[in-house]
Amino acid sequence: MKKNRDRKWVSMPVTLIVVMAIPLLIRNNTYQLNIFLMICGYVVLANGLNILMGYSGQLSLGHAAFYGIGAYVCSVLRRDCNVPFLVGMIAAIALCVLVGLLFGLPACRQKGIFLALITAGFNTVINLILINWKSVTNGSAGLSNIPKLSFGGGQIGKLTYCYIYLGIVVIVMLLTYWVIRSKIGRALIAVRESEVAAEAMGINVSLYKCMAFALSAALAGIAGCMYSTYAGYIDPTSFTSNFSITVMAMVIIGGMGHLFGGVIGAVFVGVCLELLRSFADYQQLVYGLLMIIVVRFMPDGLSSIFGLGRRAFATLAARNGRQEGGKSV
Amino acid sequence: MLKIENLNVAYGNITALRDLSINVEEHSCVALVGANGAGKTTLMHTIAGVKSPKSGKIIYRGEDATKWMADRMVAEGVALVPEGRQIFSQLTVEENLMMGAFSRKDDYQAELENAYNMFPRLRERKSQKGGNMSGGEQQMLALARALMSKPKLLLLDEPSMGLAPVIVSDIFRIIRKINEDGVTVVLVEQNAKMALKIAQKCYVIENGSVVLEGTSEQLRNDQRIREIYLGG
Repeated sequence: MKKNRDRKWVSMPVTLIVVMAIPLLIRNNTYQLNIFLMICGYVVLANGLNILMGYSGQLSLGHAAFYGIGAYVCSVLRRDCNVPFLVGMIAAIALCVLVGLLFGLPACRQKGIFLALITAGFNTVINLILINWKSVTNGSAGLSNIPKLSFGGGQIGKLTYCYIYLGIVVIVMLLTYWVIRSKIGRALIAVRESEVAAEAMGINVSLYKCMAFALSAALAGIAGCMYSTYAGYIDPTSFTSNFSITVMAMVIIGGMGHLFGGVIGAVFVGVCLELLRSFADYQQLVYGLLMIIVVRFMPDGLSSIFGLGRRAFATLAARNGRQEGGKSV
Repeated sequence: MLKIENLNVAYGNITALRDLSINVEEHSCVALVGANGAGKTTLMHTIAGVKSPKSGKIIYRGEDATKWMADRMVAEGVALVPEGRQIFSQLTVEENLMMGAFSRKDDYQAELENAYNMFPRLRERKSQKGGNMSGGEQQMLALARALMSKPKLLLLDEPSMGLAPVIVSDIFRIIRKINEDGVTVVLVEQNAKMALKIAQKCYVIENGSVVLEGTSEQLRNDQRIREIYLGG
């Protein structure tokens, strides 16, 4: 047990250093840097949905709506009201939490597929608002000229962007880790495992479901801010329920209820979608096939590979230990 | 300790409990027996605050607890061991026990130690996932988890369900011990023979109402009960 924990404290910083080296390696390729930034956003987004779907067991097919709310609130405030990025982000989080709580209410009465349908409906409603509230959102034409991040008067380079976004990802991951390991996290898992038992333990199930929705929405809002700020242009087509399904796919492929499930899924799906671009019309087809393969052969998601590796390692270590023991006798 | 008066509970249009009244004395062990669908589980859920009644009264330790929700009931000392155990299968044994103490703000190390002493098997398996244990071990975990909230009233829903006879008698020995330690027990059982053995008082429920009540002694000798519930 202790050994396991020690290993985690070594492997995490190593992984982080490796990831930090990536932007340096691709610093001359703007396209690849953009992909890196996009994936950072996906990681935060998928991580948020993992808290809701993986840990609390509540299906949501409406996460693109929160992503969109985050993107629009932050962009409108920054473009038209000239507020700093951080203020825009906080406003986006606040609105997402409010709408998230609203989303949480039906979750108190409906479960599973019905909840998924309701959230998908919510997604469509939000999308229609984005399209039709022209005075603020500029309708289907979308918002362009969203200011880039700047520091001390000058715009900052793509490389600095990468590290700022990576910083946000690390903070979000630490926050997630802290929530999941806390009493709140255990209560969320309890709600997923058995609502009756959770209630019998004195857990206010409705309250925790709403909390999971709010937290998850807040993270999606952050992801939305990240996306709009590096892209410089947003329009409602990025926030349809179609994209909600993609986010759900990230979580399922990565591994529901694994701390790094969202991260792994977001990276995998993000990279796949880009690599498959050369297939043009066949992109969706190949992507769909990949999804089927992953779900068929790794129902616990890609995170389970690490579990397998660890188990194989443990078996190997145990066998070696036995052999050494044999020799010494 | 617990008094239920004319309780009516419904799921939508379907009535589950009809003018049901029972009375549980402090420190006693009361059994509720009845066939499938008689309303026993509904009654347990209603007492625990998981389900709200349509009308009627629940009086717990002299206070009107009809409108109390589950979290309040737990805080006031009512713990439910749900039917089918409902272990948090992905949490470890120790985490399951910690969930039992969820509503407590004080230190629960003493109860944790107590639980491990009462169920040594759980100590051996404390870092194992709850779902990886046998049915009997899970039932013990469910019992231990409920005791973590230091209940005054323990509601047990079918503790013998799906367990081997030798384990059933183990579980009942433990329930008797819990009762002797001063915890009031309300027990729902299909295994009427076992239930009548440890309970002092018994209610027979049919179609959501009490059709017969008496001491276990009286019910054991009742001809009808013998035929229907005790197998002749």
